[in-house]
Amino acid sequence: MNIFGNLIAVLLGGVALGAMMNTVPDYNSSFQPFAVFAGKDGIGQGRQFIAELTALKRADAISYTRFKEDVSRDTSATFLVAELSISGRSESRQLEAIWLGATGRQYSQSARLEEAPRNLSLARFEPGLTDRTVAIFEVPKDEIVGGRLALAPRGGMVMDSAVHFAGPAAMPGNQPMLRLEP
Amino acid sequence: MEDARIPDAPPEIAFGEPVSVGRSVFTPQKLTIKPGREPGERMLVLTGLLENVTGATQKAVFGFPEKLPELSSGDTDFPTPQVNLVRDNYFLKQLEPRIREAVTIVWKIPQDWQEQDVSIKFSAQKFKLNDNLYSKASWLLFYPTGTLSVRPEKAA
Repeated sequence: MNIFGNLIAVLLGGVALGAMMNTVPDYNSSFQPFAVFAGKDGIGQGRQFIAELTALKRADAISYTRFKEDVSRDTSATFLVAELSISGRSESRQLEAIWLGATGRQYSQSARLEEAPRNLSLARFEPGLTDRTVAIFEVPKDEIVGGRLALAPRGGMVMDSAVHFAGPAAMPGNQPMLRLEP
Repeated sequence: MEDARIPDAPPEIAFGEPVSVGRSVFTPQKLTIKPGREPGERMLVLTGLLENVTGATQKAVFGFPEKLPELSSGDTDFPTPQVNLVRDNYFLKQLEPRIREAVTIVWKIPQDWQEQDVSIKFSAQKFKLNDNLYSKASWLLFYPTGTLSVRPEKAA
């Protein structure tokens, strides 16, 4: 009986250890910002900023003026342009945006359009001031409906909040050429 | 164990055969010699398709630190190539998942090089989902994935 009892204790210990090993959060999932979801009005509040998603547009090509020269960029898929209105809360911050596609893939802002006017990559948001900005992604069309926009402070996102905005219910209308103005 | 071991000699690949470069897969299509911008300058241009096979946008398309394909031919040393998008000839800054891009990998040809066979070696970083230190996803050491040995065509 004593041997039987010890055997049960060892088995229970093994089961408990296996359960703990299989349920402990791994590094990749632990070191992520906390997800905060924007309301139905499109306004989301992170720890350091407040943002409103004002429009989502789609375009085959984007043009803008840089140093008095016209620049035009095209894509092998489609451009998704998120128009945002953002204000800082307690300190000046730069933000970064990611489009989480319908398939779960993560699309960063297009580096080919970093110099476009009002681009989020170059913007800095001050406390108490509200600025308009755009985040531009290159995505396959089927990643748009069912996807969502995530906005988080640039760099050290760990232990901070990322604001998630729901994607469009229907595919945004396409523009052959979208002109970005300052 | 012997089967799992990475072979010392990477496999020979041909045009149209995909080769892993780590975070993406490259399919070479054509190797041509083209005139450069300056008089007397020549370029060796490898055209192909590049596709991101990860779940996120990649800036380190050829690994980090970047290890671009290595070109060797005779005793000539070739400089580091430039990777450009074919559609607008703008250099490749990042690669999005599920968007296959036509690219050119361009080497400037040194003056002393005579037309002959060339060999292009491709490498990839090994991916480990849970590394031994933090159990986090990591891209580790480079290993050779393929060699393309061809004679370049002259541009029409």
